[in-house]
Amino acid sequence: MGISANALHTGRFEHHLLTRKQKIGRTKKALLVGLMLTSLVDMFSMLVCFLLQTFSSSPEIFVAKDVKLADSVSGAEVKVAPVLSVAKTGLYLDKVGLGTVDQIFKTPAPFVKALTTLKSRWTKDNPGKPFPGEINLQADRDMASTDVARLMGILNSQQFEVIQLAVMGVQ
Amino acid sequence: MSLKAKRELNSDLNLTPFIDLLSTLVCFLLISAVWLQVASMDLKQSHGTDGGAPTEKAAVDVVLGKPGVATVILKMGTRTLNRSEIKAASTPELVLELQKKIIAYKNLPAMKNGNIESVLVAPHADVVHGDMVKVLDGFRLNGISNIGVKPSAGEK
Repeated sequence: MGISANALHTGRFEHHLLTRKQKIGRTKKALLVGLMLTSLVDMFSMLVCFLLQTFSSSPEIFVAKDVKLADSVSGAEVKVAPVLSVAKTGLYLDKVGLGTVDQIFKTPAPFVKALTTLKSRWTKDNPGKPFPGEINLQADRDMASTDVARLMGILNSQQFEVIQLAVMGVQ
Repeated sequence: MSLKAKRELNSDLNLTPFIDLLSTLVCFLLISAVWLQVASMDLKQSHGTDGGAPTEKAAVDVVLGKPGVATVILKMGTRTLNRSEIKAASTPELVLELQKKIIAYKNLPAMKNGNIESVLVAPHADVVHGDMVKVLDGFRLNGISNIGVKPSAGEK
């Protein structure tokens, strides 16, 4: 609702402006009335309920694209630790490629060096604390278990003795 | 505009802030949503460091052979109490047989408190990682949390 042109005793131009404004206002109002908000709010509410139900505050680890994790029913919560991904295409330590598994077995020096660097960095960041030796190991489910076991052996030799094997949680 | 019209109570709920709030919540929850249920299985590989002092704790060594085949060795300190071969048609069946074997070991008279302290699994090259995880899973379901993997029982 606006002030009428007659009440203000305005001339022709002001009258035109006021009527135009009223017209625009009327058109906008008609548009707003046409939008049904009930269904939108319903949809949003249901989405929020579903997402709140599936919400998890536990830490998540990056899973490499080539790695298909093995299923497990007794999996526990993932802990924050360096991630070693092992796939047929290659081996990655914290997303840094170190070559294929065969290359690592032939010349384990780069892998050992990367592990040593990781350990020394941790020791530098946490002076006076004993090294926990924790590492998340993601291995592809179709890999030979002996290859995974050999990599575990290399990890043990570099004092990474608490290996958290990444698995796909199954109910 | 008349005063009467002004005094009329507007009972319409203002939906704008409600929709704003819902939109923000939906965005936040969608971004932080977890679609993959990644879990972890703790392996304790440090059995070797405790090897200096022989203890009278029961431990089981499992040597995985070709798929479906396993050798199970029950040890008490340095003594071998039992050794048996298991042959199954598939890995899930092998896991079931291993679980039965563990229960049988726990009920042996030689077992002092019926506890098996640790299990060490040595896989075969023909066994894929997924199958090894199933075997480890079976031991964890039997209440054994101290599980290790050693390289390697047999090459191809």
